[in-house]
Amino acid sequence: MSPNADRHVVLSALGGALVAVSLFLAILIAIPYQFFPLMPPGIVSLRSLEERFLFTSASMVVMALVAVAQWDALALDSRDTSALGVLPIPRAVIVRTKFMAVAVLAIGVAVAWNLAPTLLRFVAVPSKLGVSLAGALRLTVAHGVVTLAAGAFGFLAVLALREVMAGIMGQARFQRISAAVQAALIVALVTALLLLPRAYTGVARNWLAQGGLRAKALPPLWFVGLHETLAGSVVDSLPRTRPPRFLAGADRDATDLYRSLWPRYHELALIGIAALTIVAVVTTAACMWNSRRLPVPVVRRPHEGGALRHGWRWIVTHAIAKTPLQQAGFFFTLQTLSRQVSHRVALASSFAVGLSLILITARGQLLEGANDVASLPLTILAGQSLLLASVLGGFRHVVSIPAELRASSTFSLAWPGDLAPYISGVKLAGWIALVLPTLGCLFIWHDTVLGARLAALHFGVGLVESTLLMETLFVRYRLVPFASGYVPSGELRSRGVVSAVALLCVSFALAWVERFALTATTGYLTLLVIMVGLSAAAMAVDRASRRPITPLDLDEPTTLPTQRLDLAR
Amino acid sequence: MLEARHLVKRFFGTAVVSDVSFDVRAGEVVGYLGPNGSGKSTTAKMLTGLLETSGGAVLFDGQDIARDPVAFRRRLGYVPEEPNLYTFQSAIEYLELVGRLRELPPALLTRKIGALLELFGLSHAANQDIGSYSKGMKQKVMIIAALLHDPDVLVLDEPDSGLDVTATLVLRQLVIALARRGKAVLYSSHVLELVEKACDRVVVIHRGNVVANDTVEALQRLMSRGSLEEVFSQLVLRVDPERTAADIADVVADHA
Repeated sequence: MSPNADRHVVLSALGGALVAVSLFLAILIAIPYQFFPLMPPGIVSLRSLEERFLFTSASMVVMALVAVAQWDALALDSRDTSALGVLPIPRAVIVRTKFMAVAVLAIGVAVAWNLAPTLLRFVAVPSKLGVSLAGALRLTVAHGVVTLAAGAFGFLAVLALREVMAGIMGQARFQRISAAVQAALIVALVTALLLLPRAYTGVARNWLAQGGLRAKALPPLWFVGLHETLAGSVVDSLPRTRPPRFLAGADRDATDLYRSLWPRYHELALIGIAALTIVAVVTTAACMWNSRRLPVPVVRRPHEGGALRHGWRWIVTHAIAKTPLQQAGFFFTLQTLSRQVSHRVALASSFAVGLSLILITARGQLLEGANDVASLPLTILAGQSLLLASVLGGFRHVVSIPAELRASSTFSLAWPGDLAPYISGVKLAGWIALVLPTLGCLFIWHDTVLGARLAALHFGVGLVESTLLMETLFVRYRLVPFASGYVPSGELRSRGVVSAVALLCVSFALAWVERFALTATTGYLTLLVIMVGLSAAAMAVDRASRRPITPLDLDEPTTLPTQRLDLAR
Repeated sequence: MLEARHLVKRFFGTAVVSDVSFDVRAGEVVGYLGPNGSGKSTTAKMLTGLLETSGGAVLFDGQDIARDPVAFRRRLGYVPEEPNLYTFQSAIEYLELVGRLRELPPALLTRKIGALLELFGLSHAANQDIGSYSKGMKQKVMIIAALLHDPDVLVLDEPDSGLDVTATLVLRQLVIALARRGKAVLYSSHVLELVEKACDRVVVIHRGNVVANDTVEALQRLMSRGSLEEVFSQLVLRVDPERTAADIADVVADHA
């Protein structure tokens, strides 16, 4: 993204973020035990199940996300062939080196993520419980082993999926669907990661005690079972001294429940070990099969099409983006969003954030409708705003990332001087490629929950709301989308939290207003008119501050204050 | 038409171009020669306005291009040294992007792209990703992009790099044909034979300074040399190529 970007800096920042977040998590989990040292063993054991579930799930998802983020770099590609194939190095050495590099990446990330919680494992035990040094060591080792095993499973599962698909379909066919698979995995994994803080409580009662296929189908539970098999007895076998009276009953129940699950722990541990072994064997076999020859460049299917493509182009050029500059923005946006990995990953992540917000705020009431408009759940109405804002926020972010920085001189040379029509084309493309499919998906959900009439009315609000959001996000935007240099904002952390809170407040406020407006036709029309008016106002503000940009400067914005060392002079 | 007036470019205090002045008139092909690192590409970038000058000015029709860079670039075609293209696009998509940014009428754009791709021998790969193109194919796309809008002035920075023999010959005839139609062409190249045959005048730059600016014939006469290659060698070469080649071969053969 930046010609001055330093890979070491990026890696250091990533490693620091992994260590910091996992350290924060470990301390957060340990705090209750330190503030309540008299917590009895039965309750500690039961709580430990939930915490192991959290740590194994997080390790698994984070490692899977790392694998998905490095999707195209997980296996040898034609660049490796062109760089190394000409050297007198046996193919096996090149293949082995590549997979060693992938393994080093995986091990590095796994250690960075799991080290702090493992080393602090003994802190997550009440000090008065009397765990011996050997017991603490066993807990620490068990935690390290299972979280690393869970992480390895997550990473290898993604690698196996990729390599098996590539092996079965062939590289050329796989390349056609690779981007879609990667995007789908990002949405699923980011959503899982964001939902984890809410989902990890009640593991014993909700998952393990239920038994059946439900527990066996959840991979993190396999490794929870492995942990309990390895070190569950450390706390469970501690002598039951007299717990505080108000906890005695709860401790007895917890001990009974925990001990009743012993057979399940063993069963899950075996499944976990088997699953890890199978996925490792499948990955190795698939990688070896795909590496039997050094890869050659895959010439992708030409971007030509039949009547459908020509019809689509005709509609766009005659009805949607009529001027050449609008068309430049429109088509270039569609091409960049669908073909550039960095843009696709960012968009998929923003979609996952929106999806998570819907799932978190809906609190399991996703399919609960209402008999009358007045009692419509606000969570369902607000879901549309949450998802639209996340997707459009992601879109606003990706337009600031250059499609290919070196090729940006294309814009410098052919720049016509007026940015507005080009940006208008970009916005139209975003609206058609992102907003309409999002609203379509939401409509199917709303139709099920609210009925066709209300779903259609809500869809109408979504259309106007997305226009308002799009115009607001691009007010006074004076960079060239997909061409100007990009420096990540240093204010992301502070602004991110504020934005999330504001988004939740505004979405629910709008949902409340919409529910009120839906009770009468005039109310509904008034809401639409107000939102259209606000969109027009945003456009007017943007137009009023518009100036021709000459000369066009596509260089990176000024670096952050902390980076301005001024060493160049 | 296009004039470089006392151009200077410094990078962190080091002058890459010290004092370069020359002009390219309408209907003229000017060859721009110099060894690696002499400042040719830097001059070309300053002439197109892509690189800010540290001193001097670039004039187009007597006006400083900095006054209205957009108007200047509407009449400029530029083939840079490196074919930096959007590798995820096809040639057609890239050329459509360029044509649309230059606000060419859609029908004309489609017609021109089709015809130029055909004439440059790229029509068979027109819908493939540029990422799968060879260097020569990318160079052809850059040349087409520079010509799409029928520019009045062309700055070609090593446009023959990576081109096959046929394409190089076509390019030579093309610059001559464009000059005959009144275009001003600045042609930077290392292929001295091509420059000798295609250019009306030659500017030789060495260590950031112009060391010669005249017709090929006048330079040959002045320096009593039979070919442009010999003239160039006398002007800028400070080593004996034969001796240097022998030294390199000795180093390569060293196994001890």
